[in-house]
Order: sequence, then structure tokens, then C-alpha cells
Amino acid sequence: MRTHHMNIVTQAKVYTISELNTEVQGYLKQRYPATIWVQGEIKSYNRNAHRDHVFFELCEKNPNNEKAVARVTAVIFDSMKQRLANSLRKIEAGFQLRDDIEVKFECMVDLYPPSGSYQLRVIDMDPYYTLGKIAQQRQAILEALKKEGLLEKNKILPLPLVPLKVGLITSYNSAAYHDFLKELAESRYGFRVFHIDARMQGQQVEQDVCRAIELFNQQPMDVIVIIRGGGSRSDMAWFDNVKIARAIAYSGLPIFTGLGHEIDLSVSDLVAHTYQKTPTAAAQYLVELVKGYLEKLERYGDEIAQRSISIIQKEEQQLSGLRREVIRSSQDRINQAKQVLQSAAWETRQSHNRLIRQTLLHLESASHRIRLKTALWMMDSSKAIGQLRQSFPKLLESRFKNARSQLEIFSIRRNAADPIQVLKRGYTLSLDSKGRTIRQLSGVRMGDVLTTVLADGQARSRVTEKRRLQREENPLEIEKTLL
Amino acid sequence: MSAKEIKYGKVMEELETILKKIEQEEVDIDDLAQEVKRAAELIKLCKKKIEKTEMEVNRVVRSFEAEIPEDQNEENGK
Repeated sequence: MRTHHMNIVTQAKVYTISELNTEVQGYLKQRYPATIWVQGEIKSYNRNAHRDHVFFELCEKNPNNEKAVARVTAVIFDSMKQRLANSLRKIEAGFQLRDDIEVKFECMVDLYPPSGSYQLRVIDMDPYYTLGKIAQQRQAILEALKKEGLLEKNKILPLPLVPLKVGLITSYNSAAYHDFLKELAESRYGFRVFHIDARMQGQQVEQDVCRAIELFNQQPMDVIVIIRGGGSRSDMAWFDNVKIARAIAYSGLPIFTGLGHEIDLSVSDLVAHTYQKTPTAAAQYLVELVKGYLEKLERYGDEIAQRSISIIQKEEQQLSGLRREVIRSSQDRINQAKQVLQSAAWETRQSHNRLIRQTLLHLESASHRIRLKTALWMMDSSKAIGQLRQSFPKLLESRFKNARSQLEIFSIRRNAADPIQVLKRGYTLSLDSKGRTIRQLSGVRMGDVLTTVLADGQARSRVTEKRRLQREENPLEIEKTLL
Repeated sequence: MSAKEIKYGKVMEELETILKKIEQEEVDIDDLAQEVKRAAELIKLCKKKIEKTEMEVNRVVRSFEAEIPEDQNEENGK
């Protein structure tokens, strides 16, 4: 038994590991002489980044619970990289393979003897498969969000009128960070930016961004802005993330995005309140909002000023119209009063003078006659002297009495010299073209138009003749000579 | 909405009211100067608030160390 046993052992081939691995490798080559297509999801991509070749795993998931049910190691040899890059370009310029994307690779099945593990040597890939899967994935997320009513949730938040307090989510010191701040600073508005550093690519994006959104929501921010620099579509896919999308949707603050994409929008963009293509554009949008508010303020200010000015001008026009009217009517009244006064003064002076002259004349002739008679009496009749002595004082007295009573009458008449009464008595008043009372012949020139004021009206006449009063001539007599 | 916005909104509302009054000539000529003065004041305050400060950047590392204060000149926005 023992020998037999030994025989079995000695007869059976004993492999070294190298022999075994090489043999299995041979079988594999025999079984898979040409390339085959394998589909799966990339995991642990480029875990040995320092090597020339790129290693990773392809993984198959249970579609019901997303758990991995099978894995295989895969490698992209350095010599294959260029070919892969060409295919990747068909998806999008700058597209990079990374974890979680679904791929369909053309590969050789091989075994690497030093490790004994079999692996897939990637020769090429089907870019359209990946493209479709990305789109499908994105579509699935969008549909789920839509079903929950989350696509519009952040959009219906009221936009702050003056969004100066900005919660910024991006990676510190990145181009996006600087572009954004530069644009805000150039506006010269008092923006207050609060920055939370977050990774903008890789597995950590989800965690960093969600946390930052949560933190900002505990503060009185006006708006949250998520920005990143330009990147490939596959980098953008970090924002086709259902958790980020939910965080945005449930944010109580409006969220703006500027994720630097050229063509497609990420799910985050679609859920956000407002999306812009670039960080600079996102900053410009904020500046525009503030500027818009200021412009509206100024428009209102201008409008208020203009309307007020026109109201005041209108008021002023009304006032100056009123003033003109007042001046005109008061001027009229003043002129009327002046005319009345002038004619009254003229009349008074004229009648006054005339009365005085007449009185003096009377007195003169009276005293003259008295003196004369007295002399006669004294010369002619000395016997009558006694009689004269008796009668003279009486005579004298009666003469003077006469004159005095005449004076009294004159003064009564003078007091009664109301210009209107004077006019009514037949006197008239002549005014020159300027309305001045004419008192002297020198005030009248040939051809002048004079206004004659009568008690019941006015008449206008032209001077056709004039004559100066001769000495001792009665002015009233001139009339006759003229006629 | 933060308290700040409400105030910016209030300013806009008040200006709208003043403008409407003036447009419909509901303002007595004696009150007009007051209304215009008020409008100019509001605009000036808002502009000052928005334009006066330089941009400020704060880094938030782990969490906000303290509550971010409301604007110190908030009473201006009334």
C-alpha cells in the first residue's frame, strides 16, 4: 500500500508554481486566442499610479442592491494608452477613465505568472457604451429627483435683492476660486465671501460639497455658490450625484453653480437655483443682481426728481401768471387813482388861485375906494368932518364885512372843490399823451393829441392852434379869439 | 430671506410708493420737498451700504467659529 501510494505520488506530475502558472496561461491563450469584450464598472482605478501601466478592477454589481458580485483585475499597458486615449476622445475631449463609470473593454485574457492571478489586458474600449451609461445614469438620477419634486425646489426660493453675503464652495486657491473672487472684487461692491474648501473631483466631492451646503445653511447667507474650473465630462460626472443634488434641492438658501462645463449640464446644475457656465460668469451674475438693484434705485430717484421738478415748474408758472395779473390790475388801479388825484390837485390849485386873486382884487378895490372917498370927504367938506368921523368906521366896517363874507364863501367853495363836482360844473381836465395834466401852454405842442376828461367821459382831440395870453388878458376870453 | 434683504426690499417699496404719489400728483407741493428728500436719503444710504466696503473674504475651515453677525449698519437700511 505504501509502495503503491508512493507510486501514485511519483507517477503524478509535480508542478512548480511557474510551470503551473505558465501552463494555465497557455490554456487561457488557447481558449481565448483572440480578444473578447468585457463590460463592467471601474473600481480602484490606477491604484498604483507610480507605475507606467494602469491597474484597476472591473466589477459586476447586483443590479438590485448595487453590491459587487464579481471582480477581475485589469491592466492598461503603457503601449496601449495612446490607443485608449483616441477612443476616449470620442466621448469628450479630456475624458479620463475613473472609478464608477461603466465600460466595455476589448481585451486579452491573460495570466501574469509572477502573481498567478489572471487579468484582462485592455486593448481598446467602446466609448459610446460609456457615454450611454453616463447619460443613462444621469437620466436615472434626474428622473428620481423629478419624481420627488426636487428639480424645482431650490429654483422657487426668492432671489435675494442684494446678494452680498456669499457662501463659496470650491477648492481653495484653484483657478475657479481666483477667477470668482477677482470678478467680485472688480465690482467694487461690498461682497462678503465665506469660503469652505471642498474637493471638486474624486470620491470626496460628494461629502465635501454636501457638508459645506449644510454648514452655510446654518448661517444668514444670501446665496451659496458652487464653482470649479473647466474639466472633462467625466469629471463633471462627480456632480451628477444624487446626494449633492438632494443637498442642493433641500437647501434653504438659493444655490448658484458655475461648474466650468462646455456642453452638458450636470445634475447639480439642473437642480440649482441658477447655473452659469463658469466661475467668472457666476460672479458676474451676482454683480449684475446688485448692479440691477442700484440701477433700479437710481431710476426711481431720477423719476422722482424729474416728476418733482415738473410739478414745481407747473406751480411756478401758475404763480407767475397770478403775479402778472396782480401787477397788471394793481397798476391799472394805481393809474386810475393817480389820474383822479392829479385832476383833483389841478382843480384845487386852479380854483384856489383864482379865488385868492379875486379876493385880493376885491379887497384892493375896496380899500382904494375907501381911501379915495375919505380923502375927498376930508378935502371937500370940513363941516362934514364930524359926520364923517361918525360914519367912517361904520362904512369901513361894512366894507370889510363884505369882503370877509366873500372870503368865507370862497373858502366854502374851495372845500367843496371835489374834482368830480368841478367836472360836473363844466370844468374839464386836459391830459397829455402820457396822462399828465396840462397846466401850461408850454406843455402843449402843435399836433399833440390831448385827452379831455369830462364829468361823464373822455374825449381825444388834436392841438391845431395855440396862443399865449397877453398881459392883462382874461384867459377865459381867449376862447373867443380862438373861435 | 435674511433681515438685510427685507430692508433692501423695504427701501424699494418705499421709493415705489413715493414715486406713485408724485406721479399721481397726490403730494401737496409743501410735502413734495420732504418726499424727495426722503427718497434721496434712502438711495444714498443703500448705495453707501452696498458700495462703501471693500470685498471681504473669510475662510471657514471646520465650522463657523461664531455666528456671522448681521451687518453692523443694518439700521441704515430701515
